[in-house]
Amino acid sequence: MLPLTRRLLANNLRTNLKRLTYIATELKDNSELFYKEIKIPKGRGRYRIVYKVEPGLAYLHSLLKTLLEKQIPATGTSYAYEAGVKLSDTATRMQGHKLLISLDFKNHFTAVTMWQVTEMLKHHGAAPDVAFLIARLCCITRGKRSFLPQGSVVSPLLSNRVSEHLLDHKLSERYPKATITRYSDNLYIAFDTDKVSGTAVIVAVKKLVREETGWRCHKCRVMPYYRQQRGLGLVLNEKANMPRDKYLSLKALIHNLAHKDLEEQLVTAKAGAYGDIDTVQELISKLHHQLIYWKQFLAATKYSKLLKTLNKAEKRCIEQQLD
Amino acid sequence: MTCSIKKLPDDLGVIIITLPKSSRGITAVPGIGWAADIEVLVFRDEFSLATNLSKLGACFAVDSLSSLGDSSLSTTITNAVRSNTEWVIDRCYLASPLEIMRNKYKMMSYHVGVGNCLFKCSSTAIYDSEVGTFNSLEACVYQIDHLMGQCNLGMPKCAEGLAEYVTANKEITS
Repeated sequence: MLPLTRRLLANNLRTNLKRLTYIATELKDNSELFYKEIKIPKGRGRYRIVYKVEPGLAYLHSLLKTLLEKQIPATGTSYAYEAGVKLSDTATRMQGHKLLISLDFKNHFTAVTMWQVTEMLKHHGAAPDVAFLIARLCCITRGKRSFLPQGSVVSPLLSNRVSEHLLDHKLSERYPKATITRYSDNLYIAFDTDKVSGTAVIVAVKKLVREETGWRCHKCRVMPYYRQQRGLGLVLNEKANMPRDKYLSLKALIHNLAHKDLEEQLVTAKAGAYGDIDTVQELISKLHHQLIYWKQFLAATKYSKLLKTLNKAEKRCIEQQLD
Repeated sequence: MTCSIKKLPDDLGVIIITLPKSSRGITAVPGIGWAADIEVLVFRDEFSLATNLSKLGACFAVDSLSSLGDSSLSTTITNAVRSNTEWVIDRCYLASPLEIMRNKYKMMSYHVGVGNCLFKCSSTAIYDSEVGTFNSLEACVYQIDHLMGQCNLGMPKCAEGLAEYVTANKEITS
């Protein structure tokens, strides 16, 4: 059960109530004392705002996360940031449908308000004062709005629980025959019939999400079986597969490393998707890690060919170093 | 004296008693600051204590309700249990949540006369999820001071006295 009083909450977090109350008060009036704003460029002049949490509060957040994970179990409708949930299992759930519809919640963490977190905690049996204190400790205040900060360890858990509480059951009620998969802020609705109008579903879901949560949806896509169905960074038409463009670029890079000038390939890779790599060894190591990830979504022959070529490139790299 | 009682869901044999700070008089209460309201948990019997204590928090001072120190506060708590439940007082247990301040238990009963205590140091057990359960007197560095009648459980000295045992045993368990 969730802590019954604020003092028991402090006790569970191995701290004292005075400190919790102080932090909560300061978070309301001076959030900038605990969060440092970092802007990450997204391209085309846009940027993503994430918050670096001050170490004392970050530790408190990790304790709160442990406590909430134990006390508020998942309903099973969240497929991201949950213990025991694998990407391959989620992909298996989504693959091979006649119609796949995807929507994205706009600024998901920012859209989850402190009030929604409080109500969710109350729904799970927390006393109002305890729910309010937990929500206040986990949220950031900017202007008149208090919301979940992107960058805190507890935000993914709370956003999942709020979505489960407010949205998931409503979606299941509306579309009982559809396979609904919510991967953090990405919502995938899959139908096994082609008699459903994708556009109508998008309009209805957008309205439902707005009514139930106040969140907005964007990047809506209707993907019938005769077109490429993409989700979770994979192609999901018949079975989950590595996208062809990604496969070809990875194959080309590995081939060039095995047969052409290594330093030249490093420069090319740095100009592309591997900007943070400094040496050929680092690049080869990173490619090894990527291959391990993609193994689950590649045919065995394709994987073994790539691995063989990459091993050849690695051998070449070692030989060149010895020379 | 006014006190509020909160029963746990499903009546698991636990109640939370909250008393205003004015009710403590000069009684030392472990884990609760001098200016704070008193909040203690009463368990129906040994079984409910063993089953529910670890679910409710991380560290507590625990003793049988019948072996509490002789103070008006203990009488108030006993009366509150009597009037609100049908539990047998001799079987009940009292637990006081211990907060932590700078890695030590918060023992903040300042300006308290020796002899005025809610918990008797000799019979009180301390439950800590990271250390285990131990007797407060046996673990304390200042046990001779207590035996000579110079301190009681809840006074600032206890935080220092128990810190060494807690740190040493936390390292062992971790």
